[in-house]
Amino acid sequence: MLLSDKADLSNPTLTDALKRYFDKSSVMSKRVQYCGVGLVGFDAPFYPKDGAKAVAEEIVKASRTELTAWSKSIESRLKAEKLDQMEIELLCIPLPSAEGFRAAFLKAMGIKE
Amino acid sequence: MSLADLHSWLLEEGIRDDLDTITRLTVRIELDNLMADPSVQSAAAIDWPKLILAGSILARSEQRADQEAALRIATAAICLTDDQALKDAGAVLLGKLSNFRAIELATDRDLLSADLNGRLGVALRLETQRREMDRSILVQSSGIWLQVNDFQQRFWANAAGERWLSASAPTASGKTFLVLQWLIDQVIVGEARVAVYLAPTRALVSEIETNLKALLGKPELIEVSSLPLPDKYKAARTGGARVILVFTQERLHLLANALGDALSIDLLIVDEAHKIGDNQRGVILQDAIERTTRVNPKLKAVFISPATQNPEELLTDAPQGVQTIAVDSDASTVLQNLIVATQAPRQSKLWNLALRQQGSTLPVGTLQLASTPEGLKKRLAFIAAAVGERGGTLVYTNGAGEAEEVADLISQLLPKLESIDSELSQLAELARKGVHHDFRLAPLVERGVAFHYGNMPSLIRQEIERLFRLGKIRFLVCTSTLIEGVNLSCRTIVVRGPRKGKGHPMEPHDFWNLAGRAGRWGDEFQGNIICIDPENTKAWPRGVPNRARYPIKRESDAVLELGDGMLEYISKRGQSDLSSLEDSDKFEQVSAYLLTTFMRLGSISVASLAKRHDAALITKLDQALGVLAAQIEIDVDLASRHPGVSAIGLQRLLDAFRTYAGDVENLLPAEVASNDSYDRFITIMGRINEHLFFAFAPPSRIRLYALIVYKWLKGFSLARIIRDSIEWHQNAGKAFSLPELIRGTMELVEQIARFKAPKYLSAYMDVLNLHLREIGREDLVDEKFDIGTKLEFGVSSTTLLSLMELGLSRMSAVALYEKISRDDLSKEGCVAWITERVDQFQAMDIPAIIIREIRERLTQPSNIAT
Repeated sequence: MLLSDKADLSNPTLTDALKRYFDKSSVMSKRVQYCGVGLVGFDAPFYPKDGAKAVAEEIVKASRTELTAWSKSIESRLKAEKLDQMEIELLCIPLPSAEGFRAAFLKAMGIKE
Repeated sequence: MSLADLHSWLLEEGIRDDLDTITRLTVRIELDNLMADPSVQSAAAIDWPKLILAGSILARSEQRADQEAALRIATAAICLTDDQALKDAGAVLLGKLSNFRAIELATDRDLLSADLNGRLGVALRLETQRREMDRSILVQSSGIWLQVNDFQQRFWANAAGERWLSASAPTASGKTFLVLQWLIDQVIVGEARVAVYLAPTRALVSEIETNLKALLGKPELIEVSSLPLPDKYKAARTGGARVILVFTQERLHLLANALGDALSIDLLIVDEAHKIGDNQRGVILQDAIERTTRVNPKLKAVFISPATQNPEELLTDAPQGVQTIAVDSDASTVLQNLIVATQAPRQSKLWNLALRQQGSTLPVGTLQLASTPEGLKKRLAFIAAAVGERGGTLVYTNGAGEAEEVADLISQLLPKLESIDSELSQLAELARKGVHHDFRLAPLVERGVAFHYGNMPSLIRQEIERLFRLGKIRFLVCTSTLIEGVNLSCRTIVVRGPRKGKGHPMEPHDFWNLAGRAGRWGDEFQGNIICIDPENTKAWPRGVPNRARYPIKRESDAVLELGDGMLEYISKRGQSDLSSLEDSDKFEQVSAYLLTTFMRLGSISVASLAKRHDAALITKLDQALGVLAAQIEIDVDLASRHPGVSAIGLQRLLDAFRTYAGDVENLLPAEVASNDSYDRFITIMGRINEHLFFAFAPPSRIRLYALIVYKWLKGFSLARIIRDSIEWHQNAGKAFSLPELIRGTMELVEQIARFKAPKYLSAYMDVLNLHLREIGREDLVDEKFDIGTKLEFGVSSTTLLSLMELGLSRMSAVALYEKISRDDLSKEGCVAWITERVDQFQAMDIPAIIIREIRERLTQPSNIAT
């Protein structure tokens, strides 16, 4: 219910849309579409171990394959959460360790030590 | 659609209905004794998420109305809803408005659960942290980061460097606090060895002095003083402790005089700087600024004023080559509700309240009074008592007498308290012992009501203000003193037909200078201004004024714009009969300033003011001034020492001394201890009236004036002066009204003994000393303790002065002096005397507040060390 500090309101398309949202006389004010953006990180086995080298092309190829498998599990999860009717942009990123990333992120945010 | 269009559309149409509803609801929770109103919609019907989103869009705007709407939405979400998520969103919205103090207040009041950040999602949390970092400033002297609002941040950023700065922001913007922090920073970490803080009234001077000392904490690093005595200044200039001097403009001149004009200041802060437009004292302020700039052209000056239109005006007199910048803000930090109260038809006890907004009026509810308000004073009193029952209520009246009566009426409507708070009874004690046993203030204070006007002794007035801030005094009835430079804000102001001075309806900017005090930032979310009888043209000849900002205009410029009036006054100023000079109130001070400027520069056309006025007028003025200057032998330095006193008057006085046929010793004032002191004052005042300026009018009252000056200098307490006057009336068989006599005596002390007498008597002495030297009678010149300083403080003995140098108010100093037998004690001697007896003070019948002041002053390390 709050506008982000980063929202760019110099764009007339956006301000016009906001006006339609607040305009009770307009039918458009009820037709609100909820959208979302999500970051999905998943453990990927294809990264080289510390110090070892790998070919970038191969990593890309491996990640494509993994992604196909992951999109299935994301789909079932969205259905379980009843979010499958909503427009959500999902950014899927393969990580050496999703848990490690989460811990590092929360620490950087100062939420958890 | 542009963003600005979206903002105004949102306000006018998009969220208008919901905004009206929450406005009505938030205003209603501020007011007491409203009748239940079934027509008011409940908060449950509001689409809060939508409204809060609108609020966050409006928060992006710079426009005052948009910002206010966003603040209203945030406040309403916090105060009116029970949903934690909505309250949290309201708090984030406050953060977007950089109103961190309001978030703190909501947490303190348990309207918001603690650890707001812990409940926010990642994105909002990031934004919040970033905002908090962006909106922080570093206080170098303490290493502390302060969270600030937009105005405070811009002030801090722009105050760096050597340029002159003029800052203006509404009353509740956290100006004073920030400026004091900055000042301390400059003196501790920066280059400034001597800083002067100018404030227009003695009340404000002592308030600032107290605040500075409290903020400093470590007084050995920096000296803070409000006495115009040279020692601390000299110490700071020669490598000793740096000093902050807090002065009125008159005191600055006193110190400059004592130092033979060698007063070099590094940093000058002028608070309430719009007062440069004040009748009679504005030009004295202007002169003070110019005088210090002449001595040190590298001086850095900072001007502060509340909600002015043109803060940059003050910068036009900066020396050539000095850069300048104005920092201006119109943002509100608290909601200010302007409410009009109109009597319901045929129902004298019911009053309809409506909120005035830009171009529209919103009904708020009906106020029910306890009693029928017959007459205007009762109307004011009863409405105030009803609507502001919970306290923090200020009532504006048009004079000291009216203030006393309205306060009395309010007190009768309040239940008698079962037990009286000890601080209230101490204030009552001080009023009884320090003024008079039957002073009306005492019984009122015991009920939590007080009145407040300019001529009251400062110790009593400050204690009233302090207890009002604490909430122990719930109703304070005040006069225009409040807009003349007292830093006092309130929750609710009640006003009907406000006048400024004697009878002039207030200009919109004066009214808003008063109304702006409603709303204490960080203590309340809202402030309320209740205007009674808005349709009555006697009360409000021009209606209830719309919001207006104060236009800064120098007194000298305003008078010069009268053109021919000024010319005529100057051309008549040289004549012999001073009592027939017309409009001297308006013209004397400025014409004196012009004459001195002419004497210094040879023509006012090269002075800074010339660029603001018509060249033809300046030429004519130059001619008229030239005629006067040709008759003047006294030098410009002597004339400069007495701002507002005309050099031609000084010359006439010198002429009179030269032709005086009697013994020259008869021209001198006599020691106040001697029998003929009083008679001498009478003849001196007569001489001043005849030759220098017709200051002590009407002449029939000169004996009374002389008596007051004599008693004041003798160090009599106010209580004693009042007692003597009552006795005199009784012996002479003259009828008198006690409240009037008390007020009259206070007025004489303030206006004659502390204002006119020091100004003209010190000029008299200067000219007389010049004459004595001319005739080879240096033996009669006594310069060690100037009469102006003596009168400013009302002391003539070394002991009394030492007590005041320790930081005591005159009232406390005099109370002690009545018990001290020696008149020649130094500061150390006084400390020793007090330390020996402090435990017996209560038994000596010294009021508790005075004992408290003595204890506070003496525990300051700088005093213990001596």
